[in-house]
Amino acid sequence: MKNFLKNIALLALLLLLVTAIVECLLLYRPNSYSYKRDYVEKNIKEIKYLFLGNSHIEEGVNPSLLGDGAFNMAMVGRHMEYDVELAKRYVPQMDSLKAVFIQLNYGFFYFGRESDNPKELKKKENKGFNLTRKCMYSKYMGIHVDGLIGYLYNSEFLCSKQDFMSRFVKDSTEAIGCDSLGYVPLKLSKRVPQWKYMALPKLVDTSKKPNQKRQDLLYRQYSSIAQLTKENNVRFILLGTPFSKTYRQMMNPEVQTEIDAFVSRLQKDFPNVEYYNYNGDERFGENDFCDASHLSDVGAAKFSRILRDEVLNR
Amino acid sequence: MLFNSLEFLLFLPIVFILYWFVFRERKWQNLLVVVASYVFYGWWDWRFLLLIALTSLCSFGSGLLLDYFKGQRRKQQAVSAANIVLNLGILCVFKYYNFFVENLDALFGMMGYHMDWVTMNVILPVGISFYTFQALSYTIDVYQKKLPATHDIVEFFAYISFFPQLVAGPIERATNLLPQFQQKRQFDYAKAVDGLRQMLWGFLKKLVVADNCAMVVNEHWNDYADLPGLTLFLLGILFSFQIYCDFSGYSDIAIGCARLFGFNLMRNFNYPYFSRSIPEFWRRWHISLTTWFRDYIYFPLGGSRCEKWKIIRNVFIVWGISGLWHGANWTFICWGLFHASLLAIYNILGINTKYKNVVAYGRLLPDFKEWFQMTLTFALAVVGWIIFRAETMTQAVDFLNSMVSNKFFDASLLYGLNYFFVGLLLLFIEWLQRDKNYALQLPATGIFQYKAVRFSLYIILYLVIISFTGQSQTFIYFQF
Repeated sequence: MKNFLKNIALLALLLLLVTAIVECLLLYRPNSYSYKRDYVEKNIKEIKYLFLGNSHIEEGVNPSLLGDGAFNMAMVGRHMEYDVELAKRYVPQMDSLKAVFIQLNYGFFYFGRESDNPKELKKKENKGFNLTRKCMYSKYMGIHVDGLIGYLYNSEFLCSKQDFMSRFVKDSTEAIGCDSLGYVPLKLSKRVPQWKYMALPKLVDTSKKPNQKRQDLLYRQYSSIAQLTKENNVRFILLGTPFSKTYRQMMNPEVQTEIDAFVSRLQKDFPNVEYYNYNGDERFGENDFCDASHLSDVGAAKFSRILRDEVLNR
Repeated sequence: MLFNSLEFLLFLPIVFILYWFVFRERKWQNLLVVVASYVFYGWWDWRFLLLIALTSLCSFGSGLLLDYFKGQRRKQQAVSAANIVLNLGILCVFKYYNFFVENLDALFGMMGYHMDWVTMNVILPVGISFYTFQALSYTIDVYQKKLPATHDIVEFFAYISFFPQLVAGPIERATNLLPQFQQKRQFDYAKAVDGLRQMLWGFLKKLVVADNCAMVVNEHWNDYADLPGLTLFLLGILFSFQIYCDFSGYSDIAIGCARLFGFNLMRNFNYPYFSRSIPEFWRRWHISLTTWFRDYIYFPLGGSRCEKWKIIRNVFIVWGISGLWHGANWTFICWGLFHASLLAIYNILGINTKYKNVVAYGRLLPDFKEWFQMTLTFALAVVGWIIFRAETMTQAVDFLNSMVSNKFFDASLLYGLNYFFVGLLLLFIEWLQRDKNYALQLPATGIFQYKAVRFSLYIILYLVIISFTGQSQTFIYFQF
């Protein structure tokens, strides 16, 4: 038994050592989180248009078509709490900043009244994605949403469900996963045949009472960015990104009324808030979408030009 | 609790230390096994612990009664029958009730009757089929006088709930496992190390091959109407790799884990994809279940010692039940009957008992005939797995139909080719080690006698697991 325990301890030590070495080496391999943070920090004085939000923005806005100074800092699956933290950290330092963009998602307004959409094809499983997100934001963006406990998430071995070891074999561009301005193109050519039934909205029963706590939290989160931008004389632009026909058909119109009321309340408190809703924009056709609610590279180019002409140059 | 979870990484060393250092008496060790097993199972859903306790209690009680009625065969028969009915009753309620109700409803509906059936929203308790069969094996073995009834309730509860194999087997026989709980266990260094190695190999199969294949299969399975035939065949192969690596991986982890505590569980897989015929495949796949059906259903029905038509009938009965054991769905029943048909053909041809040795023993590669036989057997198994994986029989038929009727090849739609090669690599390693109990069984001679070499190999495998682990999936056989 003594011998067994001795060997197990030795092997465990070796494995721990290997793990620690790999964990440290990973810090030197680029990824989209560290890249976006580095880019913003290096170009903090030049950024004029900052895009926050989740995949609808990250994959829907191509900053290279918006002129100088635009950067897409959105990230797939990002929760508002991280956007708030990023805005708090960077907006006051951005001297040239003219506008902060963020999406106002239909999905944010479920407030506990949602149920699974039977027509939705769930393709990718995102098990453990929450933990991965906490890990990546903690390790590479320095955002610890759970306070000091958040530092425990720094281990990719323990927390990340991403294929992190592949960063050692990928070249830098591939490992980063986005273009130099933070945009992730979704190639139309790679769209799957059932794209219309992927990323559909959940069914919302508006006869149920919405969760008040979540409602208040969402308002506080948007307000805090609105306040920051107001203090820094920056436009705060809320975007409703384009949705495909199949998505729009499954939206509950009462939720849209609630969104409008939410925006009105926000605009009343913060006059610098602007809202542009492209959810039902008929200029977007089938080829502009990669799934029911995310734009393809073709659609993203179109949407970016529309933003340039109708929002930035306004 | 899943084997591939952080909780288990903490649970195992704690139980190991308590088992060998704190509770060194056999009886205390047995009690620890029961407590640890209930914690292990209760981690998933503590409410169903009552069900395991009930199953264990009834079977234990039936053993005592069988002992009490020694020499009174009628009464013993009644006791055994009552316990079997009770155990199967629990299984039927939790696993098959809705299936039977829905099918009876459809049947009566076709005849123009509408019955007001009540369906229940029951959660299927993890591993219920496994521990129920284990409990049944005890009662039958005691009744058949293969084993004396135990009077120690702790050791019996430990036998039913032994955590390494509780939720997905191997389905142990009372004659093998129960006596091990009745003997004092000595720590055996070689056995423990061997167990850890087997666990490592199991984790590699599960995390690197099964979970990655699962990602591709889950993502594209339902697109069969639009995918080329070759891609569909590839998906079928990937699912075959997935189910093998998932289930045999679990068995390796379970057997290895049991060895750490001084127990020998029965072998559950013996390189089934190197089989030269379907009967051989079933002698090598899920051995604990197939031998259970053989001993407790096939043999009592007359087995192979009766007229040819009866043999065929027996095969169909056993494989129909085996299909149903896997789940309350027509796909499983049809999968069972598909294999029954193949086994019947081999039986009629009189080649069902051929090939009991290791294929191409003493040679590096098989000869042409063996290649052909193995490829044919694998292809038939893949067809079976497609039926098994489908959600409905319509989907299974459509999938198989699309394989031949869709456009055959489109390079841009060839998903999962990389994982196909990973699966092939794993099979190649297993081929080289096919005369061993598991592929990582290292010889005590040659370069592996050096600790540095062995440790380097473990570190490499650890890095491989870390590098190529797919998104965590639960073990497929948990649902059965």
